[in-house]
Amino acid sequence: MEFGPIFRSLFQNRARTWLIVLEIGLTLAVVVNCLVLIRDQQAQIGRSTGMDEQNLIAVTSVPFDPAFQEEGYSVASYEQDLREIEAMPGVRSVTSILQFPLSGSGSATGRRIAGSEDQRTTVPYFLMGPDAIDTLGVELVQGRTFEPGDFPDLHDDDEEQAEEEEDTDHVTNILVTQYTADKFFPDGDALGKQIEGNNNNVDTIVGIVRLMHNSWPLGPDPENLMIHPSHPVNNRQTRYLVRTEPGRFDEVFVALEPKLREVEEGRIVTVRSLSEMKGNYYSSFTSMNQLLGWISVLLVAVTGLGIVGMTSFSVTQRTRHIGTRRALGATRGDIVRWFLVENWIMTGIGIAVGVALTFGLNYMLASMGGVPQIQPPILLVSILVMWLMGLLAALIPALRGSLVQPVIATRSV
Amino acid sequence: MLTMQDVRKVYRTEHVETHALSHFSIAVNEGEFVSVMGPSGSGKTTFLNIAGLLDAFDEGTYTLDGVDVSRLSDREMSKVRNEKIGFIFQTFNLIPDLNVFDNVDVPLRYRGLGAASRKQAIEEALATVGLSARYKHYPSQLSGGQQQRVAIARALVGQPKLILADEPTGNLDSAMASEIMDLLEKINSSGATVVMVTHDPELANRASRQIHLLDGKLIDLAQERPAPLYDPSPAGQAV
Amino acid sequence: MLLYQLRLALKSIRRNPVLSTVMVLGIALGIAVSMSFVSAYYIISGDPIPHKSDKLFYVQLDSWNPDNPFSDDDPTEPPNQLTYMDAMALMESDIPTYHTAMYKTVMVIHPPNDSVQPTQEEIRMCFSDFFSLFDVPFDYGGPWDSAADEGPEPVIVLSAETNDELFGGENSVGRTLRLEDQEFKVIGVLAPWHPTPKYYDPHNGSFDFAEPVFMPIHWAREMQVVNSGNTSGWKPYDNSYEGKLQSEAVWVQFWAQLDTQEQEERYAQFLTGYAEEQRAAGRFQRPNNHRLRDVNAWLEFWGVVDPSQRAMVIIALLFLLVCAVNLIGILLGKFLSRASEVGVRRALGASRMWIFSLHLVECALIGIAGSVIGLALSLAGVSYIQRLFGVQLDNPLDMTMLSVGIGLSLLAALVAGIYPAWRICRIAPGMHLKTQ
Ligand SMILES: Nc1ncnc2c1ncn2[C@@H]1O[C@H](COP(=O)(O)OP(=O)(O)OP(=O)(O)O)[C@@H](O)[C@H]1O
Ligand SMILES: [Mg+2]
Repeated sequence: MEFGPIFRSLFQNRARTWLIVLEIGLTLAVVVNCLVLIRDQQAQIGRSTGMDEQNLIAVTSVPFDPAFQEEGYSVASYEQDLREIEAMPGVRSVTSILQFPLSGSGSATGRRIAGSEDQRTTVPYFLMGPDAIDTLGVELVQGRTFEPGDFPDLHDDDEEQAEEEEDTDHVTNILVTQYTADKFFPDGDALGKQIEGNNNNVDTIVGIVRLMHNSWPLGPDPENLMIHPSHPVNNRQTRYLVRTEPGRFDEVFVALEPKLREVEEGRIVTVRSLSEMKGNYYSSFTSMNQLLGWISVLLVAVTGLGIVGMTSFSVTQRTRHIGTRRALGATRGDIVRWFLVENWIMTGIGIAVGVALTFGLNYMLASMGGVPQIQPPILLVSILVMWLMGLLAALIPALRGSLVQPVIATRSV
Repeated sequence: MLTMQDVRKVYRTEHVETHALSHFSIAVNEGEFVSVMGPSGSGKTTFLNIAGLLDAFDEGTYTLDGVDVSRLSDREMSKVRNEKIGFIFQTFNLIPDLNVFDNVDVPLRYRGLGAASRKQAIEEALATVGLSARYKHYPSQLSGGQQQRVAIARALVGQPKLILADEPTGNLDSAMASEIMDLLEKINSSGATVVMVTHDPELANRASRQIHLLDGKLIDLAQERPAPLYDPSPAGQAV
Repeated sequence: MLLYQLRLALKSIRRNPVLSTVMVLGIALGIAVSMSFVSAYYIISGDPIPHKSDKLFYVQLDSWNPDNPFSDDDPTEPPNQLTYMDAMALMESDIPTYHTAMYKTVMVIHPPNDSVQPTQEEIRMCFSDFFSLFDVPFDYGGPWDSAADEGPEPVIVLSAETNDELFGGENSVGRTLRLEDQEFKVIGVLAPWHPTPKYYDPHNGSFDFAEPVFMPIHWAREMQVVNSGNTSGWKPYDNSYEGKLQSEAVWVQFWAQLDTQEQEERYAQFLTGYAEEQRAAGRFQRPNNHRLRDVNAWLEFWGVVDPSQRAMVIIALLFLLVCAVNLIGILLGKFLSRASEVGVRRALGASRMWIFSLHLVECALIGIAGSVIGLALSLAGVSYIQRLFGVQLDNPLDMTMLSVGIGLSLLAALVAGIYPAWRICRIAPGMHLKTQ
């Protein structure tokens, strides 16, 4: 191959060469950093939440019928709802819940090891009804799930107790995630231990869930969570979480609202899939990824077209040389090869410069926060794409160049 | 070496058809030095282009070194141009992005020779034209005469059997022109066939045979004149 | 002369239609991407209410747990909201020009058309000063008067979008609407109003839309409606509705407009006095620590602009840079490919300056075409970004941005053209006649 002469000829056209090199370099730097961001955010969206999120449906019931204000009406309706949903074909299990996971809004409270003088740390919590573990689809690694005895009596006078902090001097059996268990008891002996909140309300850890996300998966500790047994029912709003049998999601999803309104008409029933709530919660990521994706695609397109343009003019400018080469015995293939090799060298230098720029830009963006480190596979794939793009972009004008007739050499204009 | 029989070349543009060559026949023998003369527009360049396989023709046959070239593919034609023909242009046609060495190297590159043998051939060719010292110069740093000498080195570096030169001295003064002629004669004497177009009768007379073109037709003076021994020009006597 | 150059430039642009399009589109894209990102960023990070942002103050008091600071990250920081008691007490002051306590809640709205199902909507509970404080624009009617802040009159203000939805956009002032079990009279309808970011309450979604309904705050008590936003507490309290109102939990936001330095000082004194009063009464056991943050300080404290948005702006500017380099490269190639023509022109007497300006005219033409298309694309880009992020802007591209955009793109094209034009004007007159 004619590396030597091509190299020297590139050097003769320094400005053009450097412009292409710079353009390819900058493009690579921006694209890699965009991809790294996209990859990182995709990974956060895609990580396991511990739940059977594909089959979970979140239902909110907001009563407006004045009947709900009557004593005991809400509770009766709540119990009937649970029964009716459970009986629906395709439903695997149902539970009531006060705070939806992955939704961006939830509750948290302070806890410390019972009897200690530690500062309380914040622990997000869910108030959930019976069947919580099976409905969530999370994996219990130690202890047991809730038993009927863990729940406060639903027909007590104080039916709104679920809404806010627990009673004082009351021991509750709770479930925690492995993360939260380890946070309080790093030695792994959390089961059976107690933690306490304000005013001596004490929780006993009776079960440990391997992994589960709380309401803020993008918060500092998404797996920090405890689950309190409760019947979170009141006369303003009641929420259910429904887990469908695999493959029967759609069927249950459309049937839920009519079913609940059939049970009790005077209320607003909202049915959303957990995946949708998760999508909403992560929507800024998804939007940003879309933007970054577009930027990358447009950038590669602009650079590709730019190379087509620059090479085209370089072909025009060299029409006469091409004719001369042809007259001296170059085949069409030789001409195409010349341009491709020339381009290949420029792209190569551009990529080398680009790798340096990539790390520079990454360092700069990372110092502003929010941009993760460069993963080599992404860099390699981007390099390959840029390189192919460069070759492809040069191919079009090069093919046009190869059509130059040898007679051109003897024409003076 | 080169035989054309009833070759016709018509240029068609929107408004006119130009018969650049019609019923054109010629035979050039191996080792000959042929000069081609004729008024402007008479078809000299066209003839040379066809002879050099740079351009196609419409009718007739053309045999080069025993091969009927009208049937060759583009690729085969490239090979013939590269191996059998050396072209020298009026406007030199050096490639400005390449230095002298790389310019002379161009035809060798298409042969797949090793670096060492290429280097040797280039150095020899540059020595022949007396430009060994300037191999690193770029064309824009050379005078017209020097550029043409580089072009000649480029034409002869592959040791072609046929050298085609289209007004190689057209852009040069007479002293330089004479030097270029000396070079061509040297190449000719080492065995290559040379066909040269020129407007200068003095230079034309130094050739072993002169042909004239008029309106795309050949008038071969050699058939009318007995021998070059009687060539009246001083240059001719110098042979 | 210029006309001749213009004609030559146009001819040259037309000679390579495809590549000229590539150049124009390239620069247009560069402008569109950078403009829409910069303007989106400008809106996100900019001052949402420039003419009075330094007069509006978000009020914080330190009513928190004597044992623990409110925030582990910054122990000197008071709670980010007020207790209901404190907010109502602050409303007694007559120092601020305007002031309002407020919070967000949800209520069931029964549409006037019975065939439409009731919906649950967000409601902002506030005082009448809310509308003057934030310069909220009205299409019909106006805010309730201060008598209605306490009075028995059930009145509400609707947002433009809600009015469109419920009343088909007509003047609904005087019409009634049932929220929960109470009939309300519509007293005002807002013009479209989307403060971005939602600076008056960034606690619950900094880029959420403004609420669809505004209601005098005392009706919440009437209807026993609790807030639906962020609540933080440290002291257990009675679970009843009144219990929450009397509790130490913080869930109420408070804004005051203080026009003069003097007002500001007096108000600060008032807050100190209030805190001391409360301490004497057994509350406020932490060191005296109130905050008066103006709009920009408040937004900065909330960190509404996240670093990845800044990264996006840098990426968008790099995009413009690539487009500029791209343009320079193509122009250089184009100009150099006709070096011989320029050589002849130079030989025939064209001055360097003439050649230079001829080529700059060509760049300017490309720049103008690029900026026109670029601006059109920017509009599309901004609305795409808005849709993507669910943000609605009242004024996405204002005139300054527009003229800056046009200027910028023209400048970009000219700057991009300077080097190639300079290169080509330095072609020696004879050179390209000699060597080809
Ligand atoms: N590409 C072309 N298209 C149309 N007509 C052409 C073309 N090339 C040459 N001709 C015409 O063919 C004829 C022969 O041209 P040619 O170049 O062979 O002349 P020439 O003998 O070399 O003249 P000169 O001495 O001026 O170089 C001329 O009349 C010319 O106008
Ligand atoms: Mg000629």
